[in-house]
Order: sequence, then C-alpha cells, then structure tokens
Amino acid sequence: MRMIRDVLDKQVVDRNQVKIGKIDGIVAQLRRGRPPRVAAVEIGSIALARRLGPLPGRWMAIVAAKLGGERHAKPHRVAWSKVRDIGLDIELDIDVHKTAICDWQDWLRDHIVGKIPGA
Amino acid sequence: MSRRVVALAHTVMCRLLAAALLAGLAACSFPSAEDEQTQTATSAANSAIMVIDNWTVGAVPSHYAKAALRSLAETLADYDRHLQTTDVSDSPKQLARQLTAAAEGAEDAVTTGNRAQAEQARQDFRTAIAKFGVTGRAKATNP
Amino acid sequence: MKKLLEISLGVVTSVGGFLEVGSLATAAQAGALFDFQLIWAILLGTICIIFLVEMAGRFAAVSKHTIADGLRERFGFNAFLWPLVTTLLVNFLVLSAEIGGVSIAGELATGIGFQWWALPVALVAWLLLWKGTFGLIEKGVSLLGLVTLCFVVAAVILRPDWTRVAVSSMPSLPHHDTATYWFMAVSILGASVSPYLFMFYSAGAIEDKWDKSYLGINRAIAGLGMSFGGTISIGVLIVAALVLGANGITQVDDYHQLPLMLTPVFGFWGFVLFVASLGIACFGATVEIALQQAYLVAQGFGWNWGEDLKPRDDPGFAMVYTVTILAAAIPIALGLDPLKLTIFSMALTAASLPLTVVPFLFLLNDESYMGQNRNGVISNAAVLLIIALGFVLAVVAIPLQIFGGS
Repeated sequence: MRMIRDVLDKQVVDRNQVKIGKIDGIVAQLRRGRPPRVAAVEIGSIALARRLGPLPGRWMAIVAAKLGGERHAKPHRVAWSKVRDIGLDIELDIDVHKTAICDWQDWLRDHIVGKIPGA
Repeated sequence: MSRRVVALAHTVMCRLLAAALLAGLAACSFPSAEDEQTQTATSAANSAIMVIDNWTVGAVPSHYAKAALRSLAETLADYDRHLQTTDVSDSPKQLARQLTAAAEGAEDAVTTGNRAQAEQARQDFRTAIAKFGVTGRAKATNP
Repeated sequence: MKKLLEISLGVVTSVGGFLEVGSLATAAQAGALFDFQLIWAILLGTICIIFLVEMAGRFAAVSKHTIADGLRERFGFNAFLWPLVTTLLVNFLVLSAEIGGVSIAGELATGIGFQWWALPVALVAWLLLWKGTFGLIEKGVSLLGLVTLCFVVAAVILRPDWTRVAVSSMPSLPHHDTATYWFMAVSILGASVSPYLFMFYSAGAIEDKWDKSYLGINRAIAGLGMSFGGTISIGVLIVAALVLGANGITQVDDYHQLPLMLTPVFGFWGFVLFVASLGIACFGATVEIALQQAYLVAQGFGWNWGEDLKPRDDPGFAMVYTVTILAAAIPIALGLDPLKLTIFSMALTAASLPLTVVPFLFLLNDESYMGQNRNGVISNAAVLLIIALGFVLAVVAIPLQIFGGS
C-alpha cells in the first residue's frame, strides 16, 4: 500500500460513519537500518498548515492555541493501530465526539449555527 | 509517462500562447476612442427612442421608462462633456448638445405623462442621429 | 419507465437552470454588436459543457467522489490549493453578479434601486439553503427557470433568416471591432463553461446517490439538457441581434437596455417575461453557486456536508454558504454595476478554467478512480482544445480590451 496515494488526503470517518475530515498528515517513525514505521495519522488545521511549510505550521499552532486552549496547540493525532479499514474512506476505530478534532464544529453549532432559527 | 506528457503540454501551450499573442496584436483593429464614444452615444440615443416608443404604447411601466431615460441621459451627458474637451469641429459638439437636450426632454415627458413632449423628444433624437450618418459615425472623423 | 422519468426531470432542470446573468449579458451584447456572428462561440461553449457535465456525473457515479473531494485526494492539499482558491475567488465574483441580476430584476419590476435589493435577495436565497432540501433546490427553482424559454419563442416569432443562423455556427473573422469580438468570444466561453456548473453537478450526483446504473441517464441529461440550454442562449443572441442591433443599439452596457429585447415581441408581457426570466434564472444561479462554494470547502477539507442535512449537523458547511452569500451581496449593495461585473467575471472565468479543468481531466483518466469508465480520446481532446482556445483567447483579449477599448 502506498501511503501518499492511498492514505494521505483521504476522507476519514469514525466508527459511527461520521465524517471527521481528511488525513492531513502522516507520522512515521524513522528506524535505523529498517524502513520507517507508520506511527499515526494527523488530522486538522495545524497538520494542514505544516504541509505548506514549517512557518505556516507554527502560526497555525499559535492561532489554534489562542482560540482553543492547550488542547488544540498540537495537531490531532490518531494512532495507526486505530485504522480499521481503508476503502473509499479511511475508517478509524474512534468516537469523534471523545476527541478534540471536531471541537470547532461543536463550537460553531453551539455559538452561531444553533442560535439561528431553523437550524 | 505522466511527467513527460505534462512537460510536452507545457511547451505546446507556451508556443501556442506566443503565436496567438503575436497574431492577435497584428490582426487587431483598434477602434479610435472617438469611434467608441460615438458608438456609445448612438446606442444610447437609439435605446432612448425605443424606450419612448414602448412607453407610448404602454409596453413598459413609467418608473422603468423614467429610470432608463435618466441613465441614458447621463451617458449622453458624458459624451457631450467628452466632446467639449476634444479637438473636433463644432458640428459634432452641437449634435451632442442636441442629444442631451432630447434625453432631458424625454425624461421630463415621462415624468409628467406628456405624450406630445415625448414624441417631440423622439423626433429630436431621430434628427440628431441622422446627422451622424449611415454608419453612425460622427461626420468629423475619417473612416 | 422510471428511467425515462429521471431523464426527463434531469433534462428539464438542466434547461431551466442553464441561463443566468452571464450567458444573458454576453449573448445580448454579442447579438447587438455582431449580429449572428458569434453563435459559434455559444455552440463551442455548449459542446464543452456537455462533455464536462457528462464527465462530472460519470466521475461521481463511478468513483463515488465529488470533484472537490477527488481533486484533494488525488493531488494532495498543496496542489489542491490552486484550483480551490481560484474557483472560490471566481465563484465569488460570479455569485455577486448573479445577486446583481436578481437585484436588477427587482429594480425593473418595482422602481426601487438595485442596491436595496442585494441583501434581501441574499437573505431569501440563504433561507432556501438553510431550510430547503437538495431536491427542492435542484428541481423547484430550475423548473421555474423554464420561463427563460420565452427567449427561444421570441427568436422563432421574429423569423430570423435561419440559413444565416446556420452559417454563423462556423467561426468567422470579424469585420469591425476585432478586439471586442474576441473579448466577447472569451466572455461567452466563460459564461457557458462555468466551473460551478459541472462541479455542482458532481455534488448533486452524490446527493442523489447515483451509481454505475445511472451512466446512461447521465449521458442523456448532459447531452440533451445542456443542448437545450444552449439553444436558450442562442435565442437571446438572435433576439438581441434582431431587436437591438437592427435598431441601432450596438452597445449594451446599460442594464436598462435589456428589457427592450422582448417588448417588441410580446408587448407589456415582454417586459414581465424579461423581469421574471432574469430574476428567476439569476436566483437559481445564486443558490447553486453559494451551495457550490460550501461543497468545495467542505469536501476539500473532509467536513460533514449535505444539503439534506440540518445545518446543526454540518455547521462548517452551513457557515460557508452563509458567509459567502452575505459577502457577495455587499458589492451590489454598495452600488457596483452588475452588468459590468458580469462581463468581467465571465472573461476571468474563461482565463481560470485550465486550473480546474486540467486536474479534473487527470481524474477522469485515472484508472484507480474510474476503472473501465475512463475518458475516451474524444472527450479528452474536445475539452482540452476548447479550454486551450478559451485560455489563449482570454490571455490575448482581456488586456486588449482593458487597454484598447472601453
């Protein structure tokens, strides 16, 4: 399986088929004398900003920390072992509501979208 | 394979672009600013005539006719102002004045509901446009 | 039987949703200034959009991805940024122009200035997106859009010389105003081949849960729907040529001139039909483009999306169309002339097309997405040629228009 072609930028769903986001980054552990081992996948704006360069990544981390607190200062990482299935989407064996990944959507829902009638 | 295709496409596009640019620049006829302005003025004048015609038979509501004539009058006033500052003979300048006057007359007519005045304005437009000649170009410019 | 119904509905909604402020304005100006000469540009644009729409539907049905989703996945985030940002910007301008179109219709109908209509129009469109379902938007608004067929009826009533019309389907060189001619050709191409049209179509196919069994239906809808839609544009051009151009109105740069196209044919009903056509067609486009902006962002970033969902279930998606529709209303509310904005944004669309269409073509040729249903040589060639033509024309004609003309 090729990581960049089959994993990176693919749609991610959680164990309840809720769309979480896309695989924005891959964390690999470099090992001496052996091929690198995929340790985790990253989802979220910080991981995405890092794809553009180290500077955007740092800025995004600062902004995210300012807006969301310490919980959001680092990119959201999900261990590779949690990947349950790779097909049309990548299914992760987690419940997104227990993670911080969709916190911003919850915030939007509670503070803006939910306040507009008819939502 | 894909990289070669992209590189080839890139070269082809660049060559096409250069060729087109040269051909385009060579072939383009640039209408003089004079011609452009005249075309705008005659179009506006002819539009005003159509608006008056439609309004007279009740095909368009009065608020539209008034707004349309106001807008066209502004275009003609711009043309008039432009001509006053350029180096042309008196005859086109007079025409521009006539057009502006006709437009203002038409607008008045629609506001007051005066059909006769509208008809007069229409005549004034026709007379002024006729003086522009068959091609719609002011007689002062050379084709 | 069910297939026939699906096709009919699809064709009807495509026809009703085809005309919008861009195709209307460009066809009107082209007809007024160049008589039937630019019909070939409309034909070329229509052929291109037929291919692109068919591809969009086929891509969604076979790969189960939307175009935005596929573009990000296949090319990676960094490359995806190019079509994303370009399309968002161009769509924003076009959206503004469409809101302007509805606002003009409001002004023509009531006399209240178009600036005052901008925000109310945006609000109504937003309400439809907030509370409505995809089916309601796709079918409801587009069915109303069938009123634009009045242009075809008008063209037939005016009895043009059909031989001349047929001859004009071949490209020809202009005898005057060369720079404007090519600029108009570019604008017409940009108006016919809007990226939002085929990207929206792919999102719609996923909303309607298409699969491989829909490939035939897709081809029929794309072919027939877009063809009939194209005839409406040609109808506008013919009417403009015979009513405006023939009466010495060669510059259509004032939106007040537009209703004059139909009044000689239908009298006062012509005025009504024009206002209704403009208003409904542009309103439909407003809703679609705003929705497309949301699709683009949500699908590109993997958020939850879907017009049938309640906004609380896809807050990111809902916020994008909310913000974009309100922001796009602002230039019109501030008094920017919608007609000038329209012509400009059409030319810009044509110039930016390669950035969206070329990656899309790569997707359509990718076996891992399309399997056996990859593009054939004809589809690839047709689209590439037309896009290349549009791009070259745009690069040449736009600067010339800015520096050489009005």
